[in-house]
Amino acid sequence: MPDLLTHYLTAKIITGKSATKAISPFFLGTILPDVLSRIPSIVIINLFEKYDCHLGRFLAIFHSPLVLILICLLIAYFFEENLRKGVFKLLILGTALHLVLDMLQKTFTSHSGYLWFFPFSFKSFNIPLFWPDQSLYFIPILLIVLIFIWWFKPDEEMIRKR
Amino acid sequence: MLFSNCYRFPKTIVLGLIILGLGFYSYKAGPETEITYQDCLEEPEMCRDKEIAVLYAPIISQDEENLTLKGCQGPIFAKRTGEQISSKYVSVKGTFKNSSIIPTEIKTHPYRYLKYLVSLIPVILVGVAFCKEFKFNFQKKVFKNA
Repeated sequence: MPDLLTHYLTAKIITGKSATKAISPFFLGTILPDVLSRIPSIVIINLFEKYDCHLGRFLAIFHSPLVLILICLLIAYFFEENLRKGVFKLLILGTALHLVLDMLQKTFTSHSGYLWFFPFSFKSFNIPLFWPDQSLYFIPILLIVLIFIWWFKPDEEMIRKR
Repeated sequence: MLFSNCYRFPKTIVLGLIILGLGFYSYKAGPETEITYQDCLEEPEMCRDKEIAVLYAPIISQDEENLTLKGCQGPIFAKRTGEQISSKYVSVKGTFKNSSIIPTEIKTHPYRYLKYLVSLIPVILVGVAFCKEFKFNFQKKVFKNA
């Protein structure tokens, strides 16, 4: 995974300055796959000081599109009926952005990638551009782009007033 | 129908069970090519000369010849290759011989802790933004606009 800050900043750049209201489910979607899979594994590794080789197989499903759609639907059920559809769409868009970024990274072994076609196939597919740890190098660049956008792009209220 | 309140509770339970079921399916029917170091120790004869990979193993110690790593139920022994490894975590890909891995590739993860720390920032930011936008209605058990 690229780190969560890279995911978050990319989402922030895409939404731009105008998106400030009721869009937090989109940002939740961009961090959701890692919150569900990586955080539990990191906690377990650090608590018990061992890497559970089999746990990874269970948690891997949280990076497969079909399971993520089901999870987004599950989360949407915890919202009011009139908000539900919108929240579901935002969550789906966020998780899709997450998966696209994850697809661009290298994996150490052929079976440690992401399960794109789960449960029909366990085959993974990547466009290997960078190692997971190298995502940290992108943070300063993304921050500069974000500051540039916030500085120069007029917000929606100003456009409406004009 | 899909997003309506009709049968909301049973739909939530069914979805949760489907996700759990898919998790167990993945756990049981995951890639068969995945041989763990633990498998090798349990059946050394079966695993001799097989290719295995150990991911993100913390380093216990290293000398000029060997790496000792933390793994499933006991240390993992790998022959060290190349320069001194200045990282807490390594991933080792290699073949299993005489209770140790002869590496074909060692990948270090020098920024793991920094990556974990940096990843906390968006979790907090998203959490705060979410709490500002929505509040939980305990009577109806739903989030609604704040």
